[in-house]
This record gives sequence, structure tokens and C-alpha cells, in this order.
Amino acid sequence: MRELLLVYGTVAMYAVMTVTLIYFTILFFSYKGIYAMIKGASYSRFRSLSGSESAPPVSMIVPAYNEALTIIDNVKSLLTLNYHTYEVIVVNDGSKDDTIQVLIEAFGLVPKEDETIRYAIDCTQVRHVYHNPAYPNLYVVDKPNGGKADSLNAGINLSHYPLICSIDADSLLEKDALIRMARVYMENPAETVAIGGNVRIANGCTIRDGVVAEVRLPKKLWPMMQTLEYMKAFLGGRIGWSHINGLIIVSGAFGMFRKDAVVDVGGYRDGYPGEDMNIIIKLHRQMLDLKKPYRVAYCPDAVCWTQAPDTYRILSSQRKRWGRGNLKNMLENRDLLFRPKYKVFGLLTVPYNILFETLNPYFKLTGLLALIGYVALDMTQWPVLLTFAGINFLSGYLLAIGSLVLEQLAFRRYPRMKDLVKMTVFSALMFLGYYQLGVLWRFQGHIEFLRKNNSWGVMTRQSWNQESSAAVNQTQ
Amino acid sequence: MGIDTRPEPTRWHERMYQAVLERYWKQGEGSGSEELREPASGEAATEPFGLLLVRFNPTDDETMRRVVTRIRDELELEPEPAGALSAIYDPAGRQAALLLFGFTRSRTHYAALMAKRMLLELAPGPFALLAAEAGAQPERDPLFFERLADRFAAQPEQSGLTVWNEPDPADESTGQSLLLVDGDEDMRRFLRQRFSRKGYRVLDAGDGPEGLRLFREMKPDVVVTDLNVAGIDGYHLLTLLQEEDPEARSKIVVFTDIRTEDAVRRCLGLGADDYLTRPFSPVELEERIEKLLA
Amino acid sequence: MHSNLQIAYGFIGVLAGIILLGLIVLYSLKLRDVRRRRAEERCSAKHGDWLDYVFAHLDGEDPLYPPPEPLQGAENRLVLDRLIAWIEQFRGEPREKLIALCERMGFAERELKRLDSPLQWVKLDAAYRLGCLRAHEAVPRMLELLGRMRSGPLVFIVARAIAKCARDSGELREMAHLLLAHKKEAEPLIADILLESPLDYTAMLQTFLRSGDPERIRLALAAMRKVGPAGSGDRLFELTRSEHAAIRRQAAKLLLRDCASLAEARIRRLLGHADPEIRAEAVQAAGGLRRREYAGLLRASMNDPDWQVRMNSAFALAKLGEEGLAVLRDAADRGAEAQAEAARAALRESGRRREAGSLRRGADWVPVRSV
Repeated sequence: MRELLLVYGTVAMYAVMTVTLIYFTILFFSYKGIYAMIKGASYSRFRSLSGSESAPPVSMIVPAYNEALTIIDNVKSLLTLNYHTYEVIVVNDGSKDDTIQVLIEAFGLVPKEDETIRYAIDCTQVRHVYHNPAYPNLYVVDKPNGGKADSLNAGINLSHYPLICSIDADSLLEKDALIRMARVYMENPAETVAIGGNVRIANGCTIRDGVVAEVRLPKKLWPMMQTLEYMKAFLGGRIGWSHINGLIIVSGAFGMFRKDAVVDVGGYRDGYPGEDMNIIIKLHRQMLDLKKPYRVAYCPDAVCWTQAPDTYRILSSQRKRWGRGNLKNMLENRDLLFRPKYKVFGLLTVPYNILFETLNPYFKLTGLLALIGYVALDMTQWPVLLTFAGINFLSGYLLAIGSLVLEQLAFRRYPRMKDLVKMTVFSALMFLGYYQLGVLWRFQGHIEFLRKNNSWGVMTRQSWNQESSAAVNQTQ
Repeated sequence: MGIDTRPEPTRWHERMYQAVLERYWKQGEGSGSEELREPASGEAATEPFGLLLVRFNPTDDETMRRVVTRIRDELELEPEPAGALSAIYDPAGRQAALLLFGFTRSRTHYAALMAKRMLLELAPGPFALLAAEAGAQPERDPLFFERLADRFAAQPEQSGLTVWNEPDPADESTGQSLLLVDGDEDMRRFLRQRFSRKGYRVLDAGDGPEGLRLFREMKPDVVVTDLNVAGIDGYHLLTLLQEEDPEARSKIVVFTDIRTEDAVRRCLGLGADDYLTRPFSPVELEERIEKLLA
Repeated sequence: MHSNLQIAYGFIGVLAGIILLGLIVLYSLKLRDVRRRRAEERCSAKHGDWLDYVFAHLDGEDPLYPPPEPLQGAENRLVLDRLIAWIEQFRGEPREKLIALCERMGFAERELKRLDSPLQWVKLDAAYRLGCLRAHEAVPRMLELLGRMRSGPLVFIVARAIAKCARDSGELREMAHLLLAHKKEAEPLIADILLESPLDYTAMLQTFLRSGDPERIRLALAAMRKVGPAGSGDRLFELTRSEHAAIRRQAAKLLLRDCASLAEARIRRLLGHADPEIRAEAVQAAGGLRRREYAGLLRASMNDPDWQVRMNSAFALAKLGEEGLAVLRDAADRGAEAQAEAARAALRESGRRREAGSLRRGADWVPVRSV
């Protein structure tokens, strides 16, 4: 029995080491890829490019469900981006609060009769399209509730431009975020099917007039942990994955797609969370099946600020949802696993995701438990446990440091020295419970999946003003 | 020239004026006349003329003269030989004026930079330096020098370098008013300097709502606005400006990076009177504004 | 077991070592950043007066002189960046004066030396700056650099620099060829890069248009959107029959933009083109001409199988005044459902326009409450 525990624990340890090596490889690719991305961006004159005829027009689609509190600020901010031609399509997904009334009143919208929606993708029938010629770039779609994916599909059906951008209703885009993404597209329009943006946590930042005026680390614990988590995932992970064209997810909070590619794969899959990962998997699969050269790119300098959940309840609900979606996506696409036909995506990305994102928590947890059991049976062997914990901690911490170095090299958003100190300290503190909670939430998500739970859980929308010290200016 | 029977001027600004007169006489043809010659109509204005006023704490008069002479010598030679310079000392001490005959505005400004550097080197301690350009025909305007001296006296001791432009824009109440709405602070400063010099009364706003507020309060004659302004959609701003001003008393010039035909059409449809893209030529912007206001 | 543990210890040791290294790198980067920012502030304070001088005298005949106190070390880069920002904002005399100032300060020379560096990032930096400084001497070396670079975002930096510096269209042509060789279909971006050049390259575009190569044709079409078709009407018309959808649609759009000078026969051909998008464009352009003679054709276009063509025809008829409106009312009452739908939409729209038309504002103006 003791031997069994030990062997299992040892296997788990080797598994951790392997995962670590893969993480490092991806981190290495992040460093490799960041150079071209950042240089390309730093020498581009975005103000000038955003006014150029050659920048393609973009449709921004904002699914909204019970967003009455923040939707006006969000739409106002979206309407003032530095870009010459784009439209904002807000899709009211049968909200129970007065989201649609708030919009109609604020912008003086009236139903538009001569707008015919061609249902290129199946979605719930739209009730009305609202518009006001004084705001020619704004459309509001009212439809019965159908979920986020369904709303996105409805927005795609209405959109008039060849590029679409999916935005969350609480995303705050930087003024040049759109032109930065568009530049990545313009450099390779034929092959680029999707571009992911960088999502940063805005808790603790000062927001004025829909713009993040001062960047600060969050004061509360949960958002702080998430800031570091996002940094590790986006900078340390996504840049590297996109460099080898194995990116599996483009954040739903800010992602750009070629409309024809999305329509070809049948739009977003609705009825279940995780549609943002799902659409990317579908795009990879489609392009690899058709053997067409393509890329799913990532634009780390296009920034979208979002409000992170700051209570346990909302955060855990979000993570459980992600866990559910993740498991469903992996199960649905397990046929891509280890198939050479699917190149990097099939040979590296999907196995990595299945084995190490979805299942790794179990390995680690059970390995830990096995070793605890082993040590409990023979106390003289406590170094084994310590070693296991040590490897876990150090490899995770090294990745965190790696992504902090990337941040410092390329972006430098947090200018103060004390912010850096706080980040290095908290990166270590996260191992004292936050990651373990993450494992727990993912596990709960998997259980919910198996129980066929299909709800979106708890989401309380808070006003943007919550943590900012300066009041948001109102235009007269 | 006859014997100069007037008493030696005792005030600093009078001395300056005296030196200017002497220069003016020297420049004229002929000799012997003590009166001012009336310039014939159509005669070209006198040569450009700048002034540098210096004040610092020399240990004695000798030091003062030494420093000022060195500065004068340097300015005559660098960066190119030019003009003729006179040093006029304040009888009350501590102050000197360098009259830079033949120096254009920009050359005067550059001379001030050189002087500043030399003062830092030669006369450590607080100093005040004022660069100014005389208006046309300074020989006819003795009060200008008095104003200048007063202005300089009001300048604090450690103020370093200041540049004075006449006419003082704040006094100008007859010129036309111009509102700038642009998020770029440097560009606003540039345009403000430029248009103030041309005689416009310039208001500037860094974002849309501020621009709108200024428009409502001041009702400027011309609005020069960007489309990518903070706080409000550029086209919406045009709509609101139109709403504020239904008879189109104010002229609106859109001045922006956006170069698509669509945008031009939209702006003109929303009541803009002209559209200028960046990169731009400041002369062109001026001409277009003048044409609109004519 | 023991050996496993040894491996684990080794692993831990390596990890700890790298972490330590990482932390050192991290904090030294941060310190460097803090120092750099302070240096910037010091530079601004020290040379602020001189920069004000440059700013204030961008116009006028006098040249601009370098600062009385020469720049040292990192100040060169900071000042050059400020000056470049202004060079890019202005056109005409201010730009020339600033470039002359940079020349006088030796910036162009320094960057030319850096262009020969073996390090790629230094070369790129130098190329970018030389581009902004419009330094023609750098073009041959930049073209060589462009030829050697692999595909990626960085090639466009060098290409843009070449476009800014080029003094004859042969250099532009070579740059365009090198970019097109990457086969990324980035023609709109290349067209934008060409616009950076002050040269007149319409001859080059016409050559590209006449070539048989779809990439060159697409580039010419994209560039002509800004500089105009420049007498290539015949070739454009030929291209509307191309098998590549993008090419024929672009060519049709270009032709129709200048509709008034287009021969009637050609307009008719385009109205009856096989591609529905081209038909839709043609209908819209024909409507813009507001010529009575087209009323019949537009009426016929309302029977088109494509929805967009029908809508455009209806709206075009609405612009033709009473005659057109009569046709529309007729179609709304007696036409087939598809026609009637389009006719009704156009009638509604024209009614709204007439209401708003009496005011000075554009027809799209709607009283709006400030948000």
C-alpha cells in the first residue's frame, strides 16, 4: 500500500515536471514572439493609420443581459474609439431589467423598419432593431433570451462589415485598441481568421470619462490574485501559443474575427458556456480540414479593461462555469487529440489542454493526497512531500516571474516600484490557497457538467464607479 | 550732425530709446538733421529688431560690464555673424539691455537661449532674462521701452528665461475668437501660439465636453476641432455644435487624422464648413480660416 | 526511489536558480525604467526652453539652430523622438525646417551609421528614424535590408521608411515588389504605405494594373482609391470581367466612383453584370446621376433577384423626383412582393427626407438629447 502511494506520488511529480517543461516552452515562445509584435507596434503611427482608408471597417457586437447599470457608459465609451469606420451593435438578450429602455431613452432610438436581417447563422428571431440617425454607428437589437452565443450570432447576422469584434458589456476598450487589432489583420488579411486582445483587470484603476486614467493594482484580494493570473495566462501563455499557431482561446471580452470564417463554421455554439473557446477550436478544425494556410493571432498591445469579480461567490461561480465549458469543449473535440493532420493544434494544444488543464488538477491533488498518505504511514519520509510541494511551487512561481519580466520588458503598465514588489510577493502568496481553490472550482465545474447543469450562475453587475476615486464625468 | 544739446537720458528705457533713434538716424541717408524723418509712404519697414533684458547680481559694475560684453560678443558671432548689437546699462545698476539690431524674432529667441547658457556659466545665482521683439517702427514709440522695462521689473528674480510677445493677447478685444478642440496638448499649444500672434483670441479645450462648454459660453467665431476627441464622439460633437448654433454664425473647421471620403462627406453634411487632414501645413490652415471668416 | 528524489532535488535547484536570475533581471529592468524616466524629465527641464524655441519658430525664413548646450548621451534619442513626432504631424515648411535642423544636429548621420549595425533591432530602429527624417541616402541599404527580412510585422516598418525617403518611383516599385513577394495579400496596407511618399507614382500603378499578376492588380486598385484611376478606364472596365471576385468588384467601384464621366454603354453593361454586388454598386451610382434616362433601367432593376440591387434601385428612383416616386408608388401597389417591399422602404425614406429637407441640416439630422 505504501509503495503504491509512493509510486503514484512519484508519477504525479514527474507529471508536474513535464507540465513545467511544456509551460517553459510556451514561455520561451512568448519571448520569441513578443519581439516582433512589440516592435511592429511601437513603430506604427496608430493615429495616422486609424484614419486611413486601408483600415477595414469593423462591427463590434456587444451581447447584453441585465446590464442596465453600466450599458450606457460602455456604449458611450465604445462610440468614441479612434477608428474611422465601425459600428456598435448592442444585442439585448431578453434582459429582465430595463436595459433596452435605458438605451432607447439615452440615445433616442426608434425601431428601424428598413433593416432586414439575413439569418446567415441560425439564431433566435430578432424582435426589433433600434437605431437613431444621429448616432449612425449604433444599432440595438432586441431579441428574446437565448444566451450569449445566440446574441453574438444575432449580431453577426445584422452586421454590415467584413470584420466582427465580440465585446463584453463591461469591457472598457482603450482608444487605440481597435486600430491595434486591425493592424495585425491588415498585415495578413488572407490568413488571419481571429485575433485575440489583451484583457486587463481594472479594479483599482482610476477611470475618467470612460478611459483608464491611472493604472493601479487592485486593493482587494480576489481581484489582485486575478490580475496576476491573467498576466500569467495572457502574457506568459497566449503570446507563445499564438506564435506557434496553437492558440486555443480568444477571450470573449475582446476578440476580432473575420465574419466569413465565422459564418462558415456555423457561428457560435449556443446553449452552453465556453463558446469563446469553442469558436476558436471550430476555426482551427475547419482551416486544417480544408488545408488552407491560416493563423489565429494575438495582439497583446490592444487592451481591454474589465471588472473582475471581487467576491468569492461571483468568482467561484465564474470559475465553475469556465470549468464546465472547458470540459464540454474538450470532450466534444477529443477526436483532434494527437492527430498529425491537425498539426500543432492537434499534437500539442489539445493534448496539453486535455491532459494538463482539464485533468492536471486531479493529478496534482491526488498526487498530493497520495504523498500525504505515504508520509502519514512513514513519517521519516517527509522530505518527499516537501519536494513535491517545492516543485509545484517553484515551477509555478517561475512562470509568474517569467510573465512579470515580459510585462516589464514590453508593456510597463504598472509604473511604480512598489507595485512590482506587491506583484512578486503576491505571486508567491497565490500558492497558499488561491490555486488550490482554483482546482476546487474546476472540479465543481466538472461535477456540474456531469449533472447537466446549464445555468450561467451568479453575476451581479456593478457600476464602473465602484472602485474609482474620481467621479466619471457626464457629458452635458 | 549738430551738437546734441539734449541732456543725457537718465532712465534706462530712455537710454534704450536714444540708442534706437541713433541707429535709425545712422541708417537713414543724408546727415545733419536732428528731426525725425518721415518715411515716405510705401517705404519698407525698418530692419527687424529684438531686445534682451538681463538682470542678475554682479559683485560690481565692472563684472556686470564684463559679463554683458562677453554675451554681446558671443551673440554677434554665433551661430552666424549677424546684426549690430548695443548694450544699454541701467544707471540704477544690475540690469542691462542688449539691443539686437537686425535680429529676427527667431534669432532673438535663440540669442536668449545662448544668453541664458552664458549667464548660468558666468554669473551664478538667480537671474531674470526677457526676450522681446519690438513692433514695427520702434523709433516712433518711446513708450514701448517704458512698458518693456516695467514688464521686466515685474518679473520675479529667479524666473530664468521668458519670452514676451506684443501685442499681449489678453488685451486684444477686437480680434476674432477661435476655439480649439484637440486632445494633443502640444498641438494645442502650437496652434494657440500661432493664432494669438495673428491676433485671434484663442480658447482651447482638451476634450469634447470642455469644448462644448466653451462654445456655449463664448460663442467663438471659428471652431477648429478634431474628430477623435475624448469624452464624446466627434460626429456627435458636430451635431451638438449645430444644435447650439442653428444659424451657423460660427464656422467649423474639422482638423483630423481621419482621411476617408466618407468622413469628409459626413462632416460636411453635419454642418462643418471645412475639412483639413493631418499631416498639415499651418499656413494652409490659416488661409482656410481666413477665407471662412472673410 | 532515491534516484527519483535526486532528480527532483536537481530540478528544484535549477528552478530556484532560474527564479533568482529572473528576479534580478526583473528588478534591474524596473530600475532601468525608473532611471530612464528620470532622465527624460531632466532632459525636458534642461532643454525645455530650446524645444519651446523650435516649436515657436517652425515657420519663417530663419533656419532653426541646435541647442546652445550640446546634447549628451541619451538626450540625443529623447530629443530626436520629440522632433520626429512633430515632423510627422506637419507638412510643408515646418517639416523641411525640422528636417534641416536634424541634419544640422547630425542625427541623420548617426542613424545612417547605426543602419550598418549587425544587430537587427538597431537596424530597425535606425530605419524607422531615417524614414521619418526623409534621408534619401539610406534607401539602398534599407531596400537591401527589406530583401533579407523574413515575413512579419517588421517588414512594414522598413517599407514605410523607404516610402518616406524615396526620391524616384523606381525605389517605390522595388519596395512594392519586395512586399508583394511575401504573398500575404496585404495590399491595402501597402497602398497606405505608398501614400507616405510625396512622389507621383500613378505611372507605376498603371503598369501594375496592366500586369497579369493579381497581387499587383489588387495593389493598384487599392492605391487608386486614393489617387484616382488616372486614365485607366479601359483597363478597369476589362478588369470588371476578371474571374477574381475582389478584383472585379474593386475595379467596378473605381469606375463607378467617377460615374458622371463614364460612358453610358459601360454603365448599362455594369447594370447588367453577372455579379450582384457590381449590379448593386452600378445601380447606386446611376441613381446618383439623377438622369431621367435611367428611370427605365432602374425600374427593370427592381426585378432583380438580389435583395441589395432591388433596394438600391428603389432608393435611386426616389432620388429622381416625381417621376421616380410615381414609379415607386406603382410598384408598391401592383408589383410583386419583393419589389413592393423595396418600393415601400424607399417611399418611407423619401418622405422623411422631405420633412427634414427644409432645414439647413443634412437629412439625417434628428433632434437629440445630450447624453
